Amino acid sequence: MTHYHPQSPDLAPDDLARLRFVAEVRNQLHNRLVGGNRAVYDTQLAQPADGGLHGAAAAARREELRRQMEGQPYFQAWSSMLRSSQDLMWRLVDQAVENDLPRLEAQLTDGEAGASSLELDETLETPAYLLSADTHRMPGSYYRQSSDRDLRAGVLYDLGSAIYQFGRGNQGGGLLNDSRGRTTVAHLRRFYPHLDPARILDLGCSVGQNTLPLADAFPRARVDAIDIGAPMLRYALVRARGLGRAIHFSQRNAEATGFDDQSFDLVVSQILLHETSPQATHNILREAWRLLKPGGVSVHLEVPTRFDRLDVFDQFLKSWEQYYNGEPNTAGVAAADLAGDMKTIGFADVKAGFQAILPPGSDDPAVLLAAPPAGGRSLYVVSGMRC
Amino acid sequence: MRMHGPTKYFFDEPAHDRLLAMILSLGAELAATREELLALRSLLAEKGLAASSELAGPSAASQAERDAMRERLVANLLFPLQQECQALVDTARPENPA
Repeated sequence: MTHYHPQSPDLAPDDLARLRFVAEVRNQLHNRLVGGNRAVYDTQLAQPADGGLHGAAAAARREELRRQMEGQPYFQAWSSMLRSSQDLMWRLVDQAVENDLPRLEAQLTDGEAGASSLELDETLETPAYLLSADTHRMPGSYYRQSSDRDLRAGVLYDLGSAIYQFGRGNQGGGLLNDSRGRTTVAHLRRFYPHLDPARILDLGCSVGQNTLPLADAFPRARVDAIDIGAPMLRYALVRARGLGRAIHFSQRNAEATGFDDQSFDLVVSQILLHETSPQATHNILREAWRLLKPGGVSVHLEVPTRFDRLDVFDQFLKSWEQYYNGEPNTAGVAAADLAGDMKTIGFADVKAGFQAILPPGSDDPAVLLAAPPAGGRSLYVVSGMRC
Repeated sequence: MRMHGPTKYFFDEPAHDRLLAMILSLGAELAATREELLALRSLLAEKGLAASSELAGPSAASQAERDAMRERLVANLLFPLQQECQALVDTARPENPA
């Protein structure tokens, strides 16, 4: 049996072998086989006007390309495999953790209390953008539960999201899957070296994978982490306890958290915005401003897809997750001017760019690049200070 | 718990989507069996129950060997798609034959 952290589910070797298989299928589809789609476009669908499209015209052309590509045999086969592999991944993850769920549920009440805490709000409404489809096609999504002890969604997400990253060729976070949190810390060390936060808030923390590096980097700070999903947060608590960290989890909506004005020194979101909506994205950036004390800093990490850097075909292809894989706002956030929005809201000295994901333990200084680094994984990072 | 949300069938005949999904499931079982076989061979050789030459396979199933085996298995499974991909790319860039 394999544990990948103290409170992870026990994984049998054959379950792990199946999951590695799925990750390898996805890796080859994403890397070796994706090029056939571009070749179909170049030879059969490209139009001279495609090069100069922006805004609504680009959005309309993306929709047209979607209809055209859906009729192409290569895209059909590639997409069908990719989507099947996603569904297979969740099924295998579910089977791999099933037997261990009672033990993990028991940890909620019987485990060492530790310094972490959990506060749930049964009255919190699930936002509309999560209701239309289960995000990432994870059965049950982040919020559905079968009892008041249910933590299945968190366990599924913890393991499934790590396997998903392996399948994108990103091994940097390992099964702890914390490369985003380490990227945030590297960004803060490089661009806000004097920041010594007393209170930190992680918006949309899921199971806290990327909250933990923040707690490690600022051991004197009180760290709050919020998410919409009760079963995610129950497991986040068990996980943080097992890993010996002090995180205060609560069930809240990042658009309107309910925390007091100017109560935090650092407010972050780490790959949250593309799972919301264009309006929610703006609301979250504004809520971060409201929560910050003067001198406080907000950092938002996103996937490195920026439509202003891509031609219309790549814009279409990078929207695949939104069209077919239950991500509600992939295209919305790729088209959004996050830095411009932060400036309008009032943030000073807004920084934006692509930051390489560094391997664990790396002391290399973070660098913000105008383009994604060739040959390595990166994240799009925007940050600013409330003066 | 069941997945809630729309499912796009990419082929005109949805059975083709389901067939590919079944083949992927089969591939996962094969990958798990192959890994167990490698581990078993390694153990037999380690305990001196059979010489590695008799097992006609790797004498020690290291992680690197398992990774290489899995990569080859997946590449073989996806080979029909790879062939089509290569043909399309060659057509798009005839000056750079593979």
